[in-house]
Amino acid sequence: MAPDRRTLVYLAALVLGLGAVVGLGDAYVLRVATLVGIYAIAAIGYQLVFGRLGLLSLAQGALFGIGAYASAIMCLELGLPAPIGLLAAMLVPAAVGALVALPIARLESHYVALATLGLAQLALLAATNLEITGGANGLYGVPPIAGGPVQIGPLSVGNGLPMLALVWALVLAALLVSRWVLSGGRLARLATIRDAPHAALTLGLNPVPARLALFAVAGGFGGLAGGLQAHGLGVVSPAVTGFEVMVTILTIAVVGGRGSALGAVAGAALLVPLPEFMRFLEGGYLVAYGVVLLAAIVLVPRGLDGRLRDRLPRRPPRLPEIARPSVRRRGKALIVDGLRKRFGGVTALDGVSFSVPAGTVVGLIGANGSGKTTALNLISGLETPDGGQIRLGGVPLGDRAAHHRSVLGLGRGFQHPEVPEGLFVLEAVAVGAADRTVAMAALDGVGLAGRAADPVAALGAAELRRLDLARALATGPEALILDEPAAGLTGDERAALAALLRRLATEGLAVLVVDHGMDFLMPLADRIVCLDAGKVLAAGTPEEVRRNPAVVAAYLGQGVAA
Amino acid sequence: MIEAAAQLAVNAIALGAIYALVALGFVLVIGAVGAVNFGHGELVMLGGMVAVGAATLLPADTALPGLVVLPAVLAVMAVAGLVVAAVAYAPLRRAPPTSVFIATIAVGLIVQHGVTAGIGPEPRRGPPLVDGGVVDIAGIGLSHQQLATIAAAAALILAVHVLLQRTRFGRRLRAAAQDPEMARAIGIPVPITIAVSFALAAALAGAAGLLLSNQYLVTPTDGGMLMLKAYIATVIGGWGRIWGAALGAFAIAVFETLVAAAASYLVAEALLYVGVLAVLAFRPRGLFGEAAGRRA
Amino acid sequence: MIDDGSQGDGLSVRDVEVRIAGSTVLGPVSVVVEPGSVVAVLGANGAGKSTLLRAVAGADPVARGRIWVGEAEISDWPPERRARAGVGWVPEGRRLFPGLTVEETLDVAAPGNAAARTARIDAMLDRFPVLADRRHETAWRLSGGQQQMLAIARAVIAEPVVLLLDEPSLGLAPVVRDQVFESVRGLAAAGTAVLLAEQDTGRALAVADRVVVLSRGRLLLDWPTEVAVGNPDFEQALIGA
Repeated sequence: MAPDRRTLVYLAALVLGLGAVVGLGDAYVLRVATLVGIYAIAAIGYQLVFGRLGLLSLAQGALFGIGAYASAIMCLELGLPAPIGLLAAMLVPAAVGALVALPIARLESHYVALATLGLAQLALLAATNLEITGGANGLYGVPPIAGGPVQIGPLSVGNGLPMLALVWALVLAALLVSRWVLSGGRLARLATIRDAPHAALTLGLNPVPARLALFAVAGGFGGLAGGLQAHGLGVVSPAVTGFEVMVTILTIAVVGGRGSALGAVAGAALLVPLPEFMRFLEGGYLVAYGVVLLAAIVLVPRGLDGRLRDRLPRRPPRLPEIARPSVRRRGKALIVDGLRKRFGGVTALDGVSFSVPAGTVVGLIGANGSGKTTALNLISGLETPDGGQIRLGGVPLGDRAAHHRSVLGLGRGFQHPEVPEGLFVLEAVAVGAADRTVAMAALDGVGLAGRAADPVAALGAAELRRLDLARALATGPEALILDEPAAGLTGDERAALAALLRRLATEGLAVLVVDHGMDFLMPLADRIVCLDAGKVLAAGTPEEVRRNPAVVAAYLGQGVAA
Repeated sequence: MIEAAAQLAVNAIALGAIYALVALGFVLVIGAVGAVNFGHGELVMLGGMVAVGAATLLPADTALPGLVVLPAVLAVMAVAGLVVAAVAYAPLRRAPPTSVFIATIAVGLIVQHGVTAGIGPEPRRGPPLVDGGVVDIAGIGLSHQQLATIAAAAALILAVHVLLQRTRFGRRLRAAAQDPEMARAIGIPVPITIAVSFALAAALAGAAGLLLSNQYLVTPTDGGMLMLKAYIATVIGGWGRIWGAALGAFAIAVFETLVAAAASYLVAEALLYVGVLAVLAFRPRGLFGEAAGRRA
Repeated sequence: MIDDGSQGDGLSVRDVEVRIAGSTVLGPVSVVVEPGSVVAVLGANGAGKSTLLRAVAGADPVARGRIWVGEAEISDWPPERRARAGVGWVPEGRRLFPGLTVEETLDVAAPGNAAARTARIDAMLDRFPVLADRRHETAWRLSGGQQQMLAIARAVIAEPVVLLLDEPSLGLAPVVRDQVFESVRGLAAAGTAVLLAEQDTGRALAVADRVVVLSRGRLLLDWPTEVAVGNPDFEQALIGA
């Protein structure tokens, strides 16, 4: 894919900036530009966890330090060449990242920060106190990786032009890897896992491998940056695992724009030279970092890249032709038997049984708190039942993970759909689809094809509900369970929705629809199941259920029924 | 032997009382705005520095005792708390809690490095609370400083307890922390309770800084470690539970003092972090779950 | 007097619309609740019952239209000012402060100085004897019925001009529901304007002077109770809603 205009703006700035640095040729400027590249690599990795997974990790600085030590120890203790050291600088932190990814990713956000900070503190303690890390003094004489060190006054800093070239080549490599990580629909799937975690599960997206991979890549980039710094300076001290490195990376990510790899490079270019302009303050440059970080989070919460995106938005996806699916769906019967669920002391479902044969629409009605949504959550695997059986086409679903139920043919629509930020409608719908043609057909099915190239943020509430239905349909379900799909729709929209559901049933799907009012379900449903206080109060044809005295009493109250 | 054990116990209690003050302020802000104040430790350090400065306001030979300085520290730090609320919370009221978290990281950086740039990185000793005397209880010599530290911290904790549990304002503050929307609907001015929570939190942090500054000295880089301990205390005590966090902080201090005596301070610190990681790995919602108010 | 649309005493809601994330979830809806009367809002889940009450309480912003309590137009006021002006709200799910005791809950909601508050608390506990026995119990340890009574007492202790009750019978045993509705009737008899959102139509009809049916955010009908009871059009509207 050809780079878009926004990428070209960054590339132009990069070429101009590096050209100016090389043109000046000043060793000090080269050193700063090298450091910019090193921090850019660490921040590109951090964006994957902080931006794409949405987790406020405070361990990226520690992973930077682990990389620095790994490389230094490889070279100094084992006498291996510098490139091997750099490889270790990538692999060791990547492994650490993957190791901590799973326990950390399931924590609530305020504990993610604490757990990663605890990890960073342990790294700092280890660096300061272990013998192999040289204790508080650190390790000296890390061999240069490209060219000799440049002497400026008393300091041996930077490795000149070859080092600059190597670092910026690796920046480009990191950008390409980051771009690849987010290509092929992965950007949309990651956004869905981040912003719509429940929907993601019902669309068949397994968050575990995604988190493992992104933590590992982030760790690898962080460590690579640390290793480059170790070889560049020739020295590793415990300060590389300290909080200052973390704060620098975090500030770069926020200023550059959360999640954006190119923004991270821009942020690094702006922020890393800052201390150099403030040498008179000594450590005081971190005051400036604090001010910049505060100003950015308050005034420019989406960062530089967010601003640029407002002017140069992403290109909408190319729309495939709308193809009518010609194959008849097979359809699978959904059978619920004796389902029970308690929340604390409250019994939400108390032995509920019903079945949805393939090719039929079954309505599930009942008052607030009667257990309708709980039933859907148990069927789709978002919650675990305390008892009872769920079968789809004869296969018991009980021990299947939520994301696996989608693969088995279960689709789920939500009453209040979660939607991912920053995607186009087609991308958001395609996350669980075989390809975009299928997603386009699903959009067409719900009457949203005309908005396929619009940003999700441009949709209204009723349209978001249709988007939710479309992305479930795009997974090719054989049974579909929907939570109040008609709520908030106009009369015409309800009629269109009813026609769609009828057609899906005719194609062979088993369709279970939760609703409150009878007017939507009366002409649509083949059968209706009425829940009351977690039990099936009545089941039968719509007419039977409507005339059932118990149902009338539950809906109209004893005052009228009597 | 007995004397050493008693001394250890007094050390643990004194440190525990101070940590409890730190954690109280930390969890008050969590309750009020649902976000971590990452700069809370820096406020402790700042309080210690204010105490150092205030004690030396008079000519050199007549340094003021800490107890005299305490009200000034409380007042200055309460104002500092209002400033933190104004710059790091108020503009981000409608933003996700993560934004407030990051803003407080920024505030912490500004305070820590602002102090370093202003007065240098050296550790400084704050004023003793009373005098340097030692009192003999049953053959065990206890310093006035430690006893006064315990007494002052206990008095402050008691004062917070009375404020929160016995006064109407404190009850309104708790109600606002548990359900801000509902609190406003019964007439509680929630923006004011939030501002007061920040002021109170910073004042308590400042008091802790003053109490720490004599025996343990105060260094501009102390903040992070203190904040981290308060953070861990909230995991031990239950997220958002005020008295749980205070107890958790006390437990951390006791653990730290005992392990440091038996092995080393380094081992104590490492075990603390390993412990919190283990807790989070096996109990992802914290040791005792979230405060009831968060779930209701 | 200039006709500014207010209806004198009680609650007047005129052409109010509420939008959430750009889409209209309520309105335009107009409802008047006279002092001393109960208006029941009926309709399915998602019809806008809770939203109507939240808009009056100030929990949801009013996009268009105006709300008066007595002579005062409160549409733009923050919720705490509305509370002081006489709006009491018993939200869906009760929303008690779990860490506060019965007495503390009433105390934070009562206006006036300590003596006045104590007098009001005692009066409330007289009116809701089930709470008197559990005066020093924290709210989360109360039974469902006791919690509901406390939620009502918390709203009533400031002697509101307008009381908003959102599904007060949800999740309660029938006998407890009776007690709740009995106290609602008593409050109206004392002069409060009560706006009641309810799913238990039978009990709502038994207590209300007027009934309003909402469907998908719109007002379907607004009838005196005696007209609605037994009327097939009303039943049709309800089942359809």
